[in-house]
Amino acid sequence: MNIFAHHLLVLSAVLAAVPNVGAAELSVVAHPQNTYDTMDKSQVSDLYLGRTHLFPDGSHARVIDHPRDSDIRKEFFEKVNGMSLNQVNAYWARMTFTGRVLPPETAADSQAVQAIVVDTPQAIGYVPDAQRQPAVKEMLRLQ
Amino acid sequence: MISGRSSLEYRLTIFVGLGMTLFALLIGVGTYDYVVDTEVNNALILEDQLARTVLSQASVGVYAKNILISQDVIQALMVNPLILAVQVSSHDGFLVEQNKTPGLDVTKAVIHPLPSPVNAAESIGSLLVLLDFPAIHRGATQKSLSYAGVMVAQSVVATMIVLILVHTLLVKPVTRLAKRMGAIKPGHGDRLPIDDHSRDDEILLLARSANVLLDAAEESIALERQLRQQLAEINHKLQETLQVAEQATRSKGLFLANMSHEIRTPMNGVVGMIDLALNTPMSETGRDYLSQAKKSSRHLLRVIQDILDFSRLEERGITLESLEFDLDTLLRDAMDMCRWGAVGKDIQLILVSPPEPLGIVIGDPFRLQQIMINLIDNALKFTEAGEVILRAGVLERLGDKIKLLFSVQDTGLGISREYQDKIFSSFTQADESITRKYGGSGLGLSICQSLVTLMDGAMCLESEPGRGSIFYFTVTLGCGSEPVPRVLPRESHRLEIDVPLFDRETSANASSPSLSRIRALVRRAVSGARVLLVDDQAVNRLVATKMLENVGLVVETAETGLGAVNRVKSQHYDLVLMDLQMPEMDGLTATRCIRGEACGANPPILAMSAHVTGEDRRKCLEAGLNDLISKPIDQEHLFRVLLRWMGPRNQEVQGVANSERRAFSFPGIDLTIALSRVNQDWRLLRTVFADFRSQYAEAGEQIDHWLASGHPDDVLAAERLLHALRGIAGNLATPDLLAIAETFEAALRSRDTGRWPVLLHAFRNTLTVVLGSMAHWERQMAQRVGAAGTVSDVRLAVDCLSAVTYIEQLQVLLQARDVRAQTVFSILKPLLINQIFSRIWLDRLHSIDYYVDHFDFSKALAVWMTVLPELTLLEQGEQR
Repeated sequence: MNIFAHHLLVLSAVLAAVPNVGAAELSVVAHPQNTYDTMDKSQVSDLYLGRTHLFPDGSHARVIDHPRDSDIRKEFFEKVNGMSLNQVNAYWARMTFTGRVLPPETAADSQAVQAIVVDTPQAIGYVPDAQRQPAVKEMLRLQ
Repeated sequence: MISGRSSLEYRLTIFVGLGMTLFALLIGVGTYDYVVDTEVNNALILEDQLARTVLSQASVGVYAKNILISQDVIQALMVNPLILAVQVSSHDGFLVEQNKTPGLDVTKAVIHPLPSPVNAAESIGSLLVLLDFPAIHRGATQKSLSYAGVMVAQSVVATMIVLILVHTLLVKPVTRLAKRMGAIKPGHGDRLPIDDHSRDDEILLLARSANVLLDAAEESIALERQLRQQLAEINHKLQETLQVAEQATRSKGLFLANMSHEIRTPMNGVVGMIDLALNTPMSETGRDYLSQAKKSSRHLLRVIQDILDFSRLEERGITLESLEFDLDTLLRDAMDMCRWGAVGKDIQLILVSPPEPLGIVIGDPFRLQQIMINLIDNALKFTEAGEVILRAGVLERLGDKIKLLFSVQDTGLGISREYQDKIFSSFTQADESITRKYGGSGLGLSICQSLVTLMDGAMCLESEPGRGSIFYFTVTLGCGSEPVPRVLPRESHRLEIDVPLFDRETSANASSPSLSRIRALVRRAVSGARVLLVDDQAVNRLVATKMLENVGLVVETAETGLGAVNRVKSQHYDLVLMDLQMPEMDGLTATRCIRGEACGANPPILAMSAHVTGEDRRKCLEAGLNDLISKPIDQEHLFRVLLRWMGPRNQEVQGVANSERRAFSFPGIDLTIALSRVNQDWRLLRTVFADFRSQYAEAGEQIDHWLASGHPDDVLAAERLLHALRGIAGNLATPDLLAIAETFEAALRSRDTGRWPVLLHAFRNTLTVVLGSMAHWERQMAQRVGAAGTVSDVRLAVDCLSAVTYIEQLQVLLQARDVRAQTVFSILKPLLINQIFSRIWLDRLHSIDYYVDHFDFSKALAVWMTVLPELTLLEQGEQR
């Protein structure tokens, strides 16, 4: 069973890697007044997987995600913690149905994400680096 | 038929049932571990599967530290009853757990590492599952048990099926077969039924085999019947053969007996004629030849007697008598009869018996004597010089039985060891050369041994070649009722040395009477007496007549029993000599006829016979015969018997011929001779006695003292004393003392110390007796002289002190026809009988007794008057 699962994982990783070839860099953005200027990948991953709702200094974070099956979301998780979109969705399905934890709110696109981030000091989101607006502060670049 | 535990069915039930149950239990036990392992493995696999199902969820719960998810996972697992507890934990302290019983040991739990949802290679925590192993084990046990149960049930069912099959297929047919076989009786042609319906199985095979066996049995039974019949026939034939053989043996025995009788009768003539011829004057050479002829004929008679005895013993024809007899007399008689064997040899014949008399015993005196004579004769035959000693003694007394030991010792040739074993068997002598030199049938010892065995005894032999032999034998006899009054005193010595009656050619003992002297003595004793000789054989009559006439007897003859009876009726005879075997009327019948006649004179009747068996003797005594003379007639023997029954008229004869008469009532002294030596001067004798008593009263003690010191001078003194005593003892007519003194002196001289104690004892006993007798006689003499003074010395000597009174009284009473005569005569008779009177007078005394008893006093008186002059004669001290 383990071996089978391993094969599946390898296969899915290979399949997932194919469309990302040549994709653009992503930026994790936050409100310019945010206490921190940078964050690492695990801190970002924990916020997006619901392991924590707080920034390291203890202030509450408002995590903004992209739509469930959007390409950028797929790309984001691949880059931030290596999870496939299926894995992420399954994870959140368990968290939602059994753990009674709601997933992050979603915005329609990068524009909408940045609009919320600009307006909200506790907010954090991600956008393609090319579409990043100067009003937001880049906390982490994902290549 | 076959019941309970032994039946095949029962055993099968037990064995199969037990076996299968045991097998089932073994399977149950053996599979237990396997079942438990399987159960545990199954539980573990199940647990693993369950854990895998919830693993990703648990990972999420732990990753997100979400209690709800974790609890969800735990509950899902806990639903399973085999799971006791579940724990979900992260490495950084997050922990959710649940269990069914508090305080469970989770160290035994199965641990599953939890991978991170983000990175499967990273472990973020663990899932612990605790299984309920006791429950799993219980379940496994139950399963095992139920398996075993099922198998036992299966065994029971299988056993029953097997048994039913066995019963139907094996037990029933076998039992049926067995019953049929049991009903079959071999020999009647029965067979086990085998028909076409019989199934061709092992049972049928068994039946066929049984039938084969029956056929064989049938055959052997027929064979056995045949054999049995043959055997019966053979048995019958054997029986017939045996009867023929027995008949033959009987005929042979009878022939032997007849022949021996037939041989003995002419031998009578031979021996008798030789005896007669020896009495006539003839040349020395002729006498020598005739003596040899006599010796040979004696020997021939002996051989015939041996053969006769042997043939009787062989067919167990000898039955022992059971008579009362005096053993001491028997011993002396045996010695007497053996004397002739010592004639011409320098042999002393000695009898040694215990100090106290052996007494009256019950047994077969003739056979016992035969054994002794045989042994003594043998001893004499093989001894040239020295002594032959007959010893007698009591071994033990057991109730009414007495066991006696006899021995006959000689100083003869001896028997070498290799022949000692053979010597008792028939027809055997120690050496072939002995047969040539000494002759003999070789049957003597064999006969002796057979007789000894018949008397519950044993016989053995001790011998050293060149030094002599001792034959020992024991016999068991009955004890006699009352010891008869003995003429010989009880305290008398028991050592007797017999000197042959016949002259020895080299004899130094000149006082020993020769046969001619004996004949002269006998003639004086019986001369003129009338004798009737009854014999059908002319030769026998001639021989006997001559012998009897030689001693002065008036002989008349009769040829038949009837003739004898008639003669006795019509005439008076002092003695009758009766042959037993005669035609018409035999001696026994004739004697019965004579005794049956109630005539006054009942003469002694002496039988003459070649038959000398105990049975014959008994018959003779029953018929009324007084004694038996064996044929052929031996002169010496004839004279002895004549003296015994016709009595001595001469004191000297009595002294020599009848040892019993020597003693009177003064043991140890022959007063008749003693008185004759002093010319009947009793006063002189009294003085001599007194001298002797004063001189030798202490002789025994003196010798004892000397011998005790053992000094040669003392022994010499004892020897001298005995020598002196011996001379006086001879003069005083104390033969016992003389004999013992002689023997003792000889033993002292030869320094034969071993015999001293015995001889000393005998000597002292004898001396005491003699001294006592002397004192007794002196006292009586003094009394009689004081009381009467006129009584004759002889009367005193015969101790007939009171007789005189009775003699006078009896005559008065008989004349008055007073019945008290019976009492007086009953007192007088033993006095007269025991003393001096001859047997002729005894006969008259018996007549008186008879008449007195029948109240015929006149006839009694008539006979008494014939006796009286003789008594008067005696009183006057008749001297010839």
